[in-house]
Amino acid sequence: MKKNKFMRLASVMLMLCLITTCAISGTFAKYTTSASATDQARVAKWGVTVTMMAEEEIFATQYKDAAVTSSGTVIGGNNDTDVVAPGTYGTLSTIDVTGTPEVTVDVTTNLKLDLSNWTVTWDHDNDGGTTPEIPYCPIVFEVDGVKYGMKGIKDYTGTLVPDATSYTTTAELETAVINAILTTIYGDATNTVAGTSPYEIQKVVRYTPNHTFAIDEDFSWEWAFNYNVDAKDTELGNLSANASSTDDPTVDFAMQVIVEQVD
Amino acid sequence: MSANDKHETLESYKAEQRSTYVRVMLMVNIVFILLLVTIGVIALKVSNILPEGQDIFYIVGKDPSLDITDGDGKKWKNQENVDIFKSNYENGEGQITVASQNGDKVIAPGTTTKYMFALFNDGNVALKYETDIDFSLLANGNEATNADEFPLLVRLSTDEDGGRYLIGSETEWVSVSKAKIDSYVSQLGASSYENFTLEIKWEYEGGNDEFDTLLGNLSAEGVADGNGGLLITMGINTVAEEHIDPEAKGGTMVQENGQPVDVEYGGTIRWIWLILLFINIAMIIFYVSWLLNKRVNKW
Repeated sequence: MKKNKFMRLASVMLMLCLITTCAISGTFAKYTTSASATDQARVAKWGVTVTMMAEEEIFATQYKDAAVTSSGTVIGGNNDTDVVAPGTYGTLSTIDVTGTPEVTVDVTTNLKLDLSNWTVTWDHDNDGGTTPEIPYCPIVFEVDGVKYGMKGIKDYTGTLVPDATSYTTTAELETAVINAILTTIYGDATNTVAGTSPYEIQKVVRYTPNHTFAIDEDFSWEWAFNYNVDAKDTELGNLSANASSTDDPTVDFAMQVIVEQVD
Repeated sequence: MSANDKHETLESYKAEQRSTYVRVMLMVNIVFILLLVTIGVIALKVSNILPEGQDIFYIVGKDPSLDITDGDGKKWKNQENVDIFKSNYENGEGQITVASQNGDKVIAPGTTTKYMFALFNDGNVALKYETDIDFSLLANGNEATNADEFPLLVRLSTDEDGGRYLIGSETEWVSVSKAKIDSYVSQLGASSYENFTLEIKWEYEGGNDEFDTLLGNLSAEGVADGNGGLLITMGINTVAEEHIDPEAKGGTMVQENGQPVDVEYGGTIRWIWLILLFINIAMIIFYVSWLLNKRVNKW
């Protein structure tokens, strides 16, 4: 009996030993694991293009009559000076902005329009001097199909510049043309600030991501050959032709459009 | 035969039987001990050639385990997409400055994003792990050869020891091309965790506006052409294995009621096994002694 109990006890312990051996031997196995995480992103779209006419194309050193193909009808005193004259016309600027950027952008427009030394005056309303004479500046500007000029001036078709967009001072004309340009780009001409030289006016508008730009505008200028006052045109020409160049009537236009991502 | 003779014969028979039993038991014990050792050696050898993560025997007591979870509560699985990037970004004033047109995740100059994840060793043995970052650039569906020039900067930090940077520093960001070469190796104690923060930035004033604009235009053209644009892929990889010292420390221990949790990795089972082994050895020694004693008495 003693032997049987002992045998049984020994057998049980041996079995336990075997079972735990299975468990312990598992501890020799090496645990390894790996995990990874990935993500993908696309570079946010820019794709904004701004196209403008080059400054040197606004005015020219010479102009041709459309009927004359081989020589100019107006040629500057020296070939480096851009000139304007009765019968000349040109594009003040073209601006083309397209794209749908996925970022916030600021569109900054810098402008300058300077009509200097238009000192020849005239009785624009033929009232015999009852109202003061105003500067004779026969340059007519066209923005978004609307003509801007001095009071009493006609365009190349002989049509008077509308009263609403005609002015008695060159400063008012400058402001009106600039505001008209800003309005065609932004929808209004408010919230402008002084520009940094050489520009006089600056307007900045911020657009949220995914705004689609579709600005496509042309601005032009003309000096009608007929329909205005030939004697005054001649006076202007004489003023330019005199010995002094500091009193030459000039038209100075500059425009810059910048589209920039905002942080 | 006299009564004494009969008694002597019986005693002799009993002794012989006893002796036989002892010999058999001795043989059985030796065989089992050899079997025990053999199984242990086999397990060791087999475990070295098994595929990763598999064990040939059910592990009782030792329970290594690693969980990786991100700040959104998403557990990592191999090559699974997580949300490192976003489709919209805001500036410091809460204004959206970058917004995807079609819901894609995007990145642009001036965007910064943070991705947080935690490694949690919820097993009862220490682990050694290695973490690294990888990056690739696809241009219109094709892998770009100049991915290293992409102006992305990264930093990787952990909250261990009050917070320290593993890649970059508080004032320094590292280009993604350099970051993907380095790897971070460390250890995580049982029932311990470590939090990581991966920061990714595309500088607004990175010093190369032309290049930034080029990238934006390429992406726009690619999207318009249906090629997907410029795509970047960022990956974080972690490989972990048992530490040679199961009781090695690392990371922050999980606390319960302000005290670190108890960790046991099968010591009890090991002790039981050892005790049984010693008992078997003791039994062998006892039997051998008994046998020898019997021999001596016979002489």
